[in-house]
Amino acid sequence: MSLYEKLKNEIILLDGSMGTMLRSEKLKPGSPPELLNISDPDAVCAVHRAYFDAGSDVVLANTFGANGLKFGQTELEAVVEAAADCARRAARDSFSAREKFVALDIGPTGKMLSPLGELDFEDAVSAFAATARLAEKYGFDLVFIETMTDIHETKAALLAAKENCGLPVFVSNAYSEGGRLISGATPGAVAAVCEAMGADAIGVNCSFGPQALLPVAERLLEVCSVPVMLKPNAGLPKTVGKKTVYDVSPAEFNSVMKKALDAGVRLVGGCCGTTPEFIRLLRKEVDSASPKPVTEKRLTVVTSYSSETYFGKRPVLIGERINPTGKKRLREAIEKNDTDYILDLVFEQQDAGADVLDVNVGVPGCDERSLLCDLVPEIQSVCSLPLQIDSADPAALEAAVRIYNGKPLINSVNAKPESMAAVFPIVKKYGAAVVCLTLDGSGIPDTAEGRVALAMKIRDKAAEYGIGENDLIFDPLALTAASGDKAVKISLDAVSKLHALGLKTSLGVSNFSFGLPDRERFNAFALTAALAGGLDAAIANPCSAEIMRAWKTFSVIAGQDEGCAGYTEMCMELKDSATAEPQRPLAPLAAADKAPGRPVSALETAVYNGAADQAGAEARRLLSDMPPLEIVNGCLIPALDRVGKDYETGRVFLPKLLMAAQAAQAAFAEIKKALPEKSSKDGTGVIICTVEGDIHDIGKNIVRLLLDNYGFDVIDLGRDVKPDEVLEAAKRTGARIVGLSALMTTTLPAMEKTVRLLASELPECRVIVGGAVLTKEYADRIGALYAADAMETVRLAKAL
Amino acid sequence: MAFYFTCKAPEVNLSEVLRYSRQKKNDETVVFTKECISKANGAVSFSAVWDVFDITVSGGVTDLGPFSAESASLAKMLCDYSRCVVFAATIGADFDRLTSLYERKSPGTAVVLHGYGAERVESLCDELCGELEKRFGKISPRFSPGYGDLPLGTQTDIFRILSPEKIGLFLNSSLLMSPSKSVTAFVGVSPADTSASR
Repeated sequence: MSLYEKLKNEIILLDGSMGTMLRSEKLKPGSPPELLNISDPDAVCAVHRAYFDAGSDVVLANTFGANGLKFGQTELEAVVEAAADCARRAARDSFSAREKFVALDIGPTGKMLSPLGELDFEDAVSAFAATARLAEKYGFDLVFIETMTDIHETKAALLAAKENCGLPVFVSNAYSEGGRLISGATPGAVAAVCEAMGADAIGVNCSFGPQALLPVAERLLEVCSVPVMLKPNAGLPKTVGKKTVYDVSPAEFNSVMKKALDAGVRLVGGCCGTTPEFIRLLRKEVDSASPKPVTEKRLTVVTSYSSETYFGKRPVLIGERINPTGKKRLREAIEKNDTDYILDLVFEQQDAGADVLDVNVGVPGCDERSLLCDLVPEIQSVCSLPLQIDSADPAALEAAVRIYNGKPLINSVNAKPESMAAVFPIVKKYGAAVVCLTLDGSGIPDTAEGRVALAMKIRDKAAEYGIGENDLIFDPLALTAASGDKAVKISLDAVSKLHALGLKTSLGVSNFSFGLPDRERFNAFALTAALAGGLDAAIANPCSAEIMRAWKTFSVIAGQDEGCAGYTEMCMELKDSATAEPQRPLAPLAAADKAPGRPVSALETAVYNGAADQAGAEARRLLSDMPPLEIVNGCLIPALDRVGKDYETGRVFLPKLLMAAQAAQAAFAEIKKALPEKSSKDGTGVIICTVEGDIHDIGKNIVRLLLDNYGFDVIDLGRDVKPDEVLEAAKRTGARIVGLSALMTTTLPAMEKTVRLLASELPECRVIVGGAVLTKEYADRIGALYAADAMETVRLAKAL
Repeated sequence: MAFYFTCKAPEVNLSEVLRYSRQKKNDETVVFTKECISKANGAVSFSAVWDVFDITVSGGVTDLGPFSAESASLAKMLCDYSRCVVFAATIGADFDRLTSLYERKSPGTAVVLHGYGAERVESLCDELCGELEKRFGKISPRFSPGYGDLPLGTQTDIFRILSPEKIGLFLNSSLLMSPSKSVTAFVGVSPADTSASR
């Protein structure tokens, strides 16, 4: 019987712990267990054989840590080959008459992926690929990815397995006590990612004892359409005398595993602390249990790195604001790589209550692929919402979807054969959901029936690629009401018809009002009507109060807002923002703070107190009767100088200095609007970054904010920047001041290297250094200026 | 084989948060600091992994079996002990995500959150050391790589023997830890043998 058939028809018994068995006999703490495959194959073989004898159907070869990061290629291949030999020999020698399977075991790399860690996603894929490539060559029956604690690393391993071998792939994760991965992902999110990418079984292993993991397995059973695995530890280790033992006995273990089998778990085994004794007992349990059928769940779901969003349970609001079409300011931000502006759009929409964010950076003349690949991780590092990757360029789509942390939504495919041929392979390979536009080479049909017919065509073609209709969200297209009397009605009718067919729908409702007055209100009414017709998702502006009113009100009417909680919360927030002046009383400036003979403006007070909203409002008010530059010189700069001076004399502290800087920025943003088109700053260019190897950038970010406020043109190269990249940026931008930051002693050599490179190549360039481990003496020695803190950097830069 | 430790959130020591975020205590800083701390609700977890080793200390070298640490100051601290606990503790990656969000959104808040994170991970270490004290009796102060003459390179050995990746703690090539609010340390424990369970 093939493994696929077995998976379909039977309960599969996996093995128990390899490490526990080896450690008790052979393993020295800290030495790689995989080397035993070569140095002591009999010991490894004996463990496998004991599990086969105890009744295991599948054993995991001793390759848990065998990957391209831990071993060189030659040694890796030798270790994997020897592991396969050990397991195969055990299968031959075992007296068990059962059919036996051997898995290539893939564990985590032991490195954290960027942006929180330093391992690049593609490097993780390569490390796993080095192992996966050997799977078929050495005769393994399947690949078993296990004990992964991060959804992104899980995706890297699964992608490597799928790209490098054609064997079945099982994926199992280790969860923390709270029932999430250590990196924060829920079982539902993990399952969505793995299932969409084609995992043949999904499960949970290691972690805590069986009792603690049972709820995770039960959750997986609710959401998975593939068989679910449970392979827990025998509890947690404790020492008794000189021996270390686990605190769950084989009998206790078995009683929980029986519950798991009854609940429908289809693959069982043990992890750390379990022995052949556990597996022998479990064999009896498996033999007396009957396999529960695995059912199709047909869930339409997308995820962030941590949580999942379902379509069809309650309406999903997709934030539309990161799309440069018709938005001049965003287009400029994309052209200038102004990530801060884009992240502000992220924060606004997230705070306003969006469920998913659309990300479109298609600006003519820009490299969309590289922009998306930079921006997607940047957004995911500060935003826990799923993203809708929106591009007309399949290469850009593929690159972004590949590195995306989670299961993304793709926007979009349409019924043109070339569109489907380009997009569906990406949807299938990387496990995405996709928005399907009901248009083809002849345009958009002018009847609801015509659009539904195209939806059917898309659905059927997707099926040929193995993409289920649950991963398709149909957008029957919202055209402006001005384009014809029936324009809105046709779209809404199409929504209702698609809904009646059990398909999921989405609409870009803002398009309905194009060219009409009072657009927000119109959009809100159209949205309500569409929701009433069964719309599952809308691409709209979550920052529009009208849209949010319609949204939350509909949720109550549709019985989707328990206790009207979402509705009342929204009403409170709208009320708050309507009466938000002033938000909090500002401490008046003390007489000593005031320059003699000069009145202190409300703007100055707002900036000094770090009240950004008030500073912005006050700047707007002043602009009606004061020239912009006078506001800057007469109010903003004095306020910043004052808070800066108070910081240096210890009267206020860093948080307040930064709040003031931010408030000044809010005011400055208003003033900028009133300034002529030309650069509002005529400041000097300053390059800043943390040096190569250093990923801690809070100090650098503080410096950036202050320099920015004092009118410098700051070019922030980010963190972990190589010396030659700094040089290249200085040459390219003509900036003659460079600020370098380092937190750790281990990264000081990189700082020195950067300073010396700049000194030899661009002697006119001055370097200011700072950071926790820096001293003036060290700075002097390497030929740089030393700034003890951010304010000093500003002073030094001004002096230069 | 290492042991796992987790605990409920210890009470927040506001003075320490103010100290770590380099603020002096006054009505304004206290209100603001509390406001910032409330934003970290749910983003902090408490996990540690530890193991205990028989040690021999001689000539500034502490031999733990799986590795030796060369440091006169560590040797001095441990010379009265025959065993040593090595631990790694972290408040988790969610907190790093939160701080990077506020570094973008509100750098002033981020500074306070960094102080709060430092206080939280130290409180976690205090909880763990309290547990070790219950288990082993007398314990020494904790001593981390990078203190005095204990090289930062010791991190590599600690990570090799504890595998703290299982609690979501990783070491990068510059010997920095991710998540950033994490601590590794040595603690001398009295020779009394006890039954350890985690």
